[in-house]
Amino acid sequence: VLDAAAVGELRALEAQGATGLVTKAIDLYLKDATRHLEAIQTAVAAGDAGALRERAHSLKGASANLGARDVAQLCKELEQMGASKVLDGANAAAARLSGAFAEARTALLRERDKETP
Amino acid sequence: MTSDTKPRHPIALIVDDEATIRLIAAQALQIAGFQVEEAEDGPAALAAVGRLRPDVILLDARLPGMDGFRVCKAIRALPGGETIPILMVTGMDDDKLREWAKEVGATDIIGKPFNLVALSQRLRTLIQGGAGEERSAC
Repeated sequence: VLDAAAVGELRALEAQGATGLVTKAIDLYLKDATRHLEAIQTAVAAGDAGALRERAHSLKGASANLGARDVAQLCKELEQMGASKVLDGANAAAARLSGAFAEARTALLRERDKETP
Repeated sequence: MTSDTKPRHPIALIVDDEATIRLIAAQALQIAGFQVEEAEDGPAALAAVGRLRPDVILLDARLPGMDGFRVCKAIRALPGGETIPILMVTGMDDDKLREWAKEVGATDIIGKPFNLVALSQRLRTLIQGGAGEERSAC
């Protein structure tokens, strides 16, 4: 679900002085990702390919940098659907994205709570 | 006598609409010795370039509204903007986007997710490597 190396990179920065980076990054990501996810569902329901491409791209980048690989991969698929304006299968992909995000969220919160103050 | 050694930290401008990316990249670059400025869209990036004259720019290709390609072209048209190294963040598996990035004047290209240590090294190399030189993506 989660690429440990990504959070490991953030922890390495914390050790060099970036205090609280893991918590800040995960909290910020989860807040923004929830917003993007809702917008993706709305775009798929409305058949709005442009909005789908834009939102899926935004969620993909941050997900990849936090190690949420499955989320990033599904966003890539949805982004490509948006770019090609062919939304067949977008509903199913969006549903899988919701599931993948829920798993990533749980894993990220676990990582965040590992942090020692 | 040998070279011009300035004590100031190089200024890196991060242009990305994703706050999480800006946060992570900014922390990595600050630790690596950069002074970091951020912009979340094209107009803010152009204003920051005019105001700060950054030493290097990390520019996301996909920005809402004015996309990174248009921003790159606009930076190149600004006085002094033609020589600032620009590292464009784009899909490395998309040859068309990579070509387009070069056409609009990007100095180099990097894909997401980027390794944070490698990112700061890459930006330093671009600063040292001479502005305006087009480099091949790797």
